[in-house]
Amino acid sequence: MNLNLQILSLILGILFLLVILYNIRRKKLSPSYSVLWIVLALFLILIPVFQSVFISIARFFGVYAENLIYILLIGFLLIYVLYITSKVVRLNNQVKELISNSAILEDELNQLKKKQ
Amino acid sequence: MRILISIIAFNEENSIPDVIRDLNEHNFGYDIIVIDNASSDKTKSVCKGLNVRTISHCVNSDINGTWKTYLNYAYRNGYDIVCQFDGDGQHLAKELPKIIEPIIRKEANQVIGSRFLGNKTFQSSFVRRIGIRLFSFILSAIFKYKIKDVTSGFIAFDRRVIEFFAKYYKAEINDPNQTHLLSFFSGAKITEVPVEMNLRQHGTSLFNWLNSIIYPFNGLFNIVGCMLLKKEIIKDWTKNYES
Repeated sequence: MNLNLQILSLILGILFLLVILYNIRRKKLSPSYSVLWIVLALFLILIPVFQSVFISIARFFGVYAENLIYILLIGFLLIYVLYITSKVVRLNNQVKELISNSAILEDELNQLKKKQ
Repeated sequence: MRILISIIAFNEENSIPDVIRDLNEHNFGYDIIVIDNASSDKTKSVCKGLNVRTISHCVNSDINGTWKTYLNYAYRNGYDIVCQFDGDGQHLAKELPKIIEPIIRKEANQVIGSRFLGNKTFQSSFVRRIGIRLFSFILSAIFKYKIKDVTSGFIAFDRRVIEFFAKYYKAEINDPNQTHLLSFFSGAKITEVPVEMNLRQHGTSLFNWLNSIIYPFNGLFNIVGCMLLKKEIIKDWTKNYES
């Protein structure tokens, strides 16, 4: 693998890790949501460190090491998007249920006030 | 028997007075509520002025949210039958007994007011008719009896269906086909009766041109999704309810 690419991967990985940790500290990211992001950062850092292992894995699949990075990154992002989608669906449902419930409760409250 | 008519309104300040007057003139003795989906116009105050019980969402939800509201309301207040009624003047109050009577006679659990049975007073656009045809064909094949107007918003549900959707099936429902399928799996008998309908007087349809391209695909996926739930619904709900 190209030395420049290794350095880039290392720098990006460390930067990414720092940004995530910084955001967790500022409570902008919850640790449970950022586990996957930390894994991604570690992945970027570990590529140059365990280069020979990585290259042999790439060879096993018959692709260049650089391409394996892309394949893994895209796969990772797809999994993360799927995870986020399932969260969105859940949230969407909960919000709708809450809107409907709060509307009914508000109406009941108004009726009670009228009676008094 | 306690019967609830729930009028669905989103920015219908122009048409809702006529709708409510129409309902009041016929005076069936049904309870009426308006579900106001956070309208940005004066719908809420107009309804208050007409002395109709109005339930207002605090933020705009979609059609599914509105439907959740009136089903939850009907469930909490122990109604036996709930009818969905459009706030845009499309539905006629004189047709209400037609969709309620089959439920009172215990012939059906869910009744659809159909525009395509009997004399044709309502014609929708060509593209939409093809879509309705397609879904009507699929649903009829699954039900093993004919259902023609699958997208009608003029529907009545009985206690069984209300309970199913208010208590058991709380997930998102994106189109009427899904509603029909799910309540069919829950063991409800669905029938169709011919009704007259007005052409839309105010407001726009939920279906714009972009939707008309996406809608069929979405609809097919929704049906497949429902089919995947069939076994679970029968196991968890239908058997428990009937025993």
